[in-house]
Amino acid sequence: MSGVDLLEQGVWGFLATAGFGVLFNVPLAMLPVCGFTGAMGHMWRQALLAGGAHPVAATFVGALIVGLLGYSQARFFHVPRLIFTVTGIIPMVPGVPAFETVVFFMRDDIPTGLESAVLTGLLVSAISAGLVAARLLLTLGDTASPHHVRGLWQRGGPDRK
Amino acid sequence: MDAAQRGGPGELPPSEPVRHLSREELSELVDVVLHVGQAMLQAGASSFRTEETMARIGLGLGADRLELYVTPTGIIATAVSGGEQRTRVGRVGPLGVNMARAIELNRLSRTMSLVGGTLPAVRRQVEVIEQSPRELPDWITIPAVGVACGAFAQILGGDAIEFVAAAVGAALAQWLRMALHRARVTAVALTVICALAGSLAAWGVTRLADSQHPELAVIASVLLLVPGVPLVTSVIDLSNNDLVSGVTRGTLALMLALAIGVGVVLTLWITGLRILP
Repeated sequence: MSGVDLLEQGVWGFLATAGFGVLFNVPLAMLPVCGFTGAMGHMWRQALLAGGAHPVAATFVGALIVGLLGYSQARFFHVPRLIFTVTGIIPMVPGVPAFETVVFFMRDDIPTGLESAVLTGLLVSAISAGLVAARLLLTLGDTASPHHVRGLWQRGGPDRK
Repeated sequence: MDAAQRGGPGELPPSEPVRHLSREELSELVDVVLHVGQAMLQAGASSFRTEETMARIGLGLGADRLELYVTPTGIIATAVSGGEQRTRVGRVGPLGVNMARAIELNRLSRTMSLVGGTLPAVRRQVEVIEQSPRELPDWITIPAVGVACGAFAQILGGDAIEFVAAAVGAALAQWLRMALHRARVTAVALTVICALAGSLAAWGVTRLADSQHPELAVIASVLLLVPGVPLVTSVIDLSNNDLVSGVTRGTLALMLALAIGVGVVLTLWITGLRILP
């Protein structure tokens, strides 16, 4: 894959991600940042795919990039990282295998359909795993207080640091 | 468990004598806190973020302690002040996505945990946040969603024809979704109808333009319905050990994904399976 192709993919990734930012009502100023996150994740994934990586591995790395970028941007802009991660994974949605599952099932070709269904599941899991891996990598240091009881909040409690 | 063990009041005694809330005030406090929790969940926030926002607002309003249990379908909230305590249970309406609203409510709670607030003021601020319009009006949102789905067709390997077809289908589906949402159609039925309409329209455009890969346009035209927010929030909930919330949201995401499948199956059936991968 040439550099120009990769850049073109980056542009499409940017548009897809920013468009979903509009749909999810992300604050206007954050739309370009969302687009950038999605473009980066997508370009890494495309580059790895072009280099011969397995789609699941490439998707995992793409989601990991989205997670890492989302976390640092959330710190920088003081917004929840959800707005970057949810929109950033959009270009990686396994649309083709999901569609193939439906078509093969309708053609009564159950084994091939199941194959596509498993691939779809693996790709969705790879996205989740990438986001969780980014979160674990970046939050290893700050664990919650072991004495903090979930669901119990009090005046002057652990919330007031 | 004593106070020091909880890492609670033992560490940081309040600098001024705390005024205990009356029974009526506490009742109204729980009402506001519950309302904020419902609004957060309906805007797509994760259970932990919702709980944190509710707690900060409750403590900022003067409660000594809040005990919260938040799931995507219902909230149990107890507020304690002095010897009084009030508990409420609230059901949560259909889950949607509104990032700006969730951010604003969370921001309000952070301000309140620093400077506190009074009940009428908080009620008004919550009302202002809930009534604030979307970041962009509908006539921009609809084409923006169309362009996003067109870009997805390009990502899948499509051409200019597939871009246009997916954009037209997705824009139609988004317009329909807004209309059905106003008519209070439930999420699953809405998803089936929008997936059917969007993919049919995309297929129609590819037929007009003699496209090589009509399936790419059809796939991309239903992308806007993919339950991305419930899916990612489900992962966040699970990794926060909110198992009930995580499983609930995961199931919701699966149901919506299946609903998209049903809509596409109907399209394939109408078009006679001529759309081949």
